[in-house]
Amino acid sequence: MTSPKPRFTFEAPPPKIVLLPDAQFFTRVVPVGDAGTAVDVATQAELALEALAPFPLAQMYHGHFWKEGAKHALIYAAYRKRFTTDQAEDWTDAEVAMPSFAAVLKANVGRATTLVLNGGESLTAVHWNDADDVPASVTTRVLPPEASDAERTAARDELLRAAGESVKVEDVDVLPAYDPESDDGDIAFRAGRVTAAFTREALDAVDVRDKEDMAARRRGRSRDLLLWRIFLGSVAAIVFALVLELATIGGKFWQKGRVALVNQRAPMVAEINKANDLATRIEELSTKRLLPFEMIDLVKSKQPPSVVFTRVTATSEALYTLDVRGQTNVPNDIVAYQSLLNGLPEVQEVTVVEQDSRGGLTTFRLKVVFKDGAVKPDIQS
Amino acid sequence: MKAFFLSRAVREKILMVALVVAAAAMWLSGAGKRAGKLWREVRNTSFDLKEQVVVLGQKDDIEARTKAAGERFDRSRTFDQVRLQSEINTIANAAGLGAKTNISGAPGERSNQLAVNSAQVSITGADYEAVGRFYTEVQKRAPYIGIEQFDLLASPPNSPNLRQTLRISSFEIAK
Repeated sequence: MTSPKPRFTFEAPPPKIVLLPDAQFFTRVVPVGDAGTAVDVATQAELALEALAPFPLAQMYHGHFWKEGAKHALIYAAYRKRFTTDQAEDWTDAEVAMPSFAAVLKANVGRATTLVLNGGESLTAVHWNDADDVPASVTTRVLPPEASDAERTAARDELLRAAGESVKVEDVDVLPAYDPESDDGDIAFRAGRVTAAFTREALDAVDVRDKEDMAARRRGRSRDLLLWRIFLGSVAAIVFALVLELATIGGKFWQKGRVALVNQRAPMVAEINKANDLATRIEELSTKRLLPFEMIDLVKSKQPPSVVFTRVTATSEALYTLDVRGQTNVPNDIVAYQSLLNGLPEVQEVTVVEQDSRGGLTTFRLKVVFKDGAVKPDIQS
Repeated sequence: MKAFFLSRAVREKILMVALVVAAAAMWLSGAGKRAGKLWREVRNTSFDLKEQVVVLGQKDDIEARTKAAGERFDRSRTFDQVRLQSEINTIANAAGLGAKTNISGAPGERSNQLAVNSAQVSITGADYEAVGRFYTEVQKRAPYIGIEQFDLLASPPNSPNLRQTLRISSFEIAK
């Protein structure tokens, strides 16, 4: 009894790989000279295909293989009508659609090596002259379904002869398949002992589907990558928020101890501050005496006959300032009085703070500031 | 995780991103506010602690200053709240203002060794000479008694009847 399939899992499903029959494709190796980039090679491969193929490019599924530093590119194409519409529909959500032999094109091989892929109904020989270049030839022989071992051996020998001299021949009896265990590249394939890892860009080149569709897929991948980065950034933000939250919780405990210390010290500190304030106040009370009558005597000494005082105030906070309110029926006497007071040696400044005339009577308020220590007490204690 | 994410349909990817972005924004905003509040509290507490350390460090100096303030004066001539009001009453009577004077206690300050006591004095219907005599007697008791607020009002203007309000303070040195 099998266990039921879980409804949700974080495991990604394996990518959908479509490997097409090798026999449907014709292959050529074309020189690309010192083509610098994969884009240049793609252009040269399309031009070569247009020259070599019997059909326009739009009527073919085609791809190419090239690797950095190679002097040649392997191009391959198949007539579209060799595949049904249903088959082509099935490729749309695949990660890659390519001939089976393309899965081993990035295999690490030595010079003069031939891989013989046994595809059941066909045999494909992939031959490298130079390990640093692309395969020098890819040849396929179709076998009848009921082919005997002798026929298979004969076909193999024929393929090897056509490939040229081989130092090493590796027979691969299983079809290449996606290798989920490999960490190399974006997608890796395994065929027997042969492994090949492709980057996403290299897979796009070997893919035979419509190039416009491939461009749309690339745009989709860019969008997905952006979404992934936003997702990852948000997850990082959540982790940061979690750390911040934990730090805040820890910080609150620490802060609680500090607040307790402040509260514990507060009464003692308040007592010291109060003692300090009182000492200051007593010093001021004993040394800085408010002398309002002495200040009144000084301002009265220059008082014009028309001026009458209505209110006089003074406070110990402004020890040498007398606030005088009065009234007169001769407004000019206020200015004259201000001048006379300013002339007193004990006075620092006289300011008319308010002045208001009503019904022939002018009320005013003077702020008289005396110089520090200029006003002496009449009575010594 | 990346492979899982990338293998999802576009709408699922967008939904996952939207959910994670919303969760991150909400949580980060809340955590930021809480951390900011704690940071301000920590800063204020640090300031309080520093201030307390400074005050506690000055404790000996302040006590010495308080003691010195007390030693400069004759403790027997200082006035507590009751004696202050009694003394003001005596002065008012001597100046002939006993019936025209109201005396009430005003808030003072007190520590272990020192106290400042205050009284609010209101004299009504007095002439200038009488309030002058009262003032002279108060000044004779300086520095043990002092005037902190002075307000002399002629009501009505040019009238010989004056209304005077004073806040008189004294200090007290404890045994």
